[in-house]
Amino acid sequence: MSAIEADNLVRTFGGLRAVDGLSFTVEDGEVFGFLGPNGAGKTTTIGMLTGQLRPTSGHARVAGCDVANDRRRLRPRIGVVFECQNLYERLSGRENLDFAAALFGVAPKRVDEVLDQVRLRDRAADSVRHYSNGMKQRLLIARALLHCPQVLFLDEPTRGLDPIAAREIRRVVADLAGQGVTVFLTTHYMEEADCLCRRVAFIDHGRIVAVDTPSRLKVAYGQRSLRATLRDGSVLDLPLDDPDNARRLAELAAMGHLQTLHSAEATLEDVFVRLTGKGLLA
Amino acid sequence: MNPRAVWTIFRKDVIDAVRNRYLLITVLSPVVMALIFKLMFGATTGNVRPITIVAYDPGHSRLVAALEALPGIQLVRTAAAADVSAEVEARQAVGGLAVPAGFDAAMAAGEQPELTGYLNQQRSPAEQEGWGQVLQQQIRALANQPPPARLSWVRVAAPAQPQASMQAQLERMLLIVLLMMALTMTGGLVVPLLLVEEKEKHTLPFLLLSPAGAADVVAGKALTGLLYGGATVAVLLLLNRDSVANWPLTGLAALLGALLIVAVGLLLGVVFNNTMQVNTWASLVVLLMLVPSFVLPLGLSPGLAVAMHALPTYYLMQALDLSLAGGAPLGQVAANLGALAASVAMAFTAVAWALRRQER
Repeated sequence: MSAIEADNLVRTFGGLRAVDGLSFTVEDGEVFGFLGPNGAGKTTTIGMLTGQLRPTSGHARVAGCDVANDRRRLRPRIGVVFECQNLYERLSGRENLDFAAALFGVAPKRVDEVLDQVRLRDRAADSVRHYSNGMKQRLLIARALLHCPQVLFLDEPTRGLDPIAAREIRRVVADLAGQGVTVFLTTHYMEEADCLCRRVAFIDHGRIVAVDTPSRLKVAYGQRSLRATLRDGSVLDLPLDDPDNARRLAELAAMGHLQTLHSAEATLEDVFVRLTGKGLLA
Repeated sequence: MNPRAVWTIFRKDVIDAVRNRYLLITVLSPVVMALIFKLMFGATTGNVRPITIVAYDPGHSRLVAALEALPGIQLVRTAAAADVSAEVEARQAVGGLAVPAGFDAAMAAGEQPELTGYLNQQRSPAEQEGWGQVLQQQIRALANQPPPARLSWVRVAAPAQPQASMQAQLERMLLIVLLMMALTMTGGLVVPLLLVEEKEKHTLPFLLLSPAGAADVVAGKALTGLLYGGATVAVLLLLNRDSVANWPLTGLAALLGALLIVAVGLLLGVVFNNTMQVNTWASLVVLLMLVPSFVLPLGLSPGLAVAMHALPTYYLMQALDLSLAGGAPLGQVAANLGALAASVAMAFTAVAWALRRQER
């Protein structure tokens, strides 16, 4: 059974179609990346899939629940890490989790388990206002995991974090993927999606422009090429699909001009640019 | 409604609000003001003032000496028995005593000499009773036998009427103002901020994605407001316990008042989205709700007095005034409490309507 099934989802705000006929599925235990520039409709899509926003039209089922009509049953089956760090800053990390545990009717010992999972147990008694951004983000993930949700939504979980904190968050997500948790991840960071997600969807202007595994997308939409660095310091990109480049490469090698030669695989960002004609951070 | 969620949110808010300096100052302000008023106008409770007794005692009796030796008694002697009554009134003494010459000798001879006691009816019944008991105890202590003297009391001055007691009236009006301030500041400022902070810090979406619904969140905030409002009101009433004649009715009026103003606060919290909006509009609402408590004691033109009836806090103020003073016909208090209860029902209906509108 699919963990998420979206069928022609539409959401309009006044005259604006923020989400325009999205259809996709996310399988159980899959880490699914949802990529797109600001304003593409990612957060609106999460809003609909988590039951916070009613679709204008279309249907979606998450963890077996209709997102529009079965919200009460849906809530305990999903965990959401919001884009903003919405914690109670005057409370300690443990108090935040105790509060969430009480709301969800979760046994208090589970709080220690998730604190261990995100490596925050030694700072659990500190007030959240004294946490770094990375610690807050880990606490948000701990809170979302507290009630063992079937589907975890992560909205830009590494946005604004330093590289070390971002790497720690990726480690946590990778651990979750290893445990078979279904993760719906939105992010700007292509390498993040590339290394964490089994499949990614590109969204632009509220529409999905491509869905597949990162490697297939790169093969399908990227350009296979070799990158040659010459002895004079200049760099040449030599697409492999061009038959002339094989001869040119042989000449450069014969004349001894070649310094280094690397394969130049397309990135997901290259794919997105190719598909939409603009960058992800646009 | 999910009672566990309501209780959990209430418990979280109680802890969180205590750590919020702004909310804490708002809640404690009326109590601090009550303490300041007490210092300014003189405490009526807990402050031991000496009891003045006027005595005519030409024979320098052991009885008067014993009374004089008692702690907290200030004895004033007169030259003639006829002066005692006037002196009691002039000095606002609790009472007085005229002891005949040769009183000690008569007692020693086993006679029953006649004493005259004086009571000042301008002083409280408790003070008058206290003076009577002290005197009788001292007489018995001297004689060490059944009542050795026939004691007759003389009432000095006409009994004080409740409305004549300006001090008591002033204290009651101040208490009403403080109670109204405590309720309006807690309900009108603290409750909406509890809700708006969840919106500003984006914690509301988290709550709404938990098993708690919007109604549970609002109910949790209402309970927090009632707890803080109730606690402040209780402290104010205890600090001014001498001004409370009817505790059950006063408690009922305060509870209905707290419910009313918490509902108004919830409405503000549901409608507005940030602290600046709440501070601007809630201040105006709080001022409006406080108008009857400031304006009515000053006396109004008939037109304005009628206009005051449109404010639900008018009925709260009237109910508090009547229940604090005591002695008012039950029907009169019930009419005000009824109007207050109807206002509470309307305010909560408005909250439910606003919630449903936002959920759409």
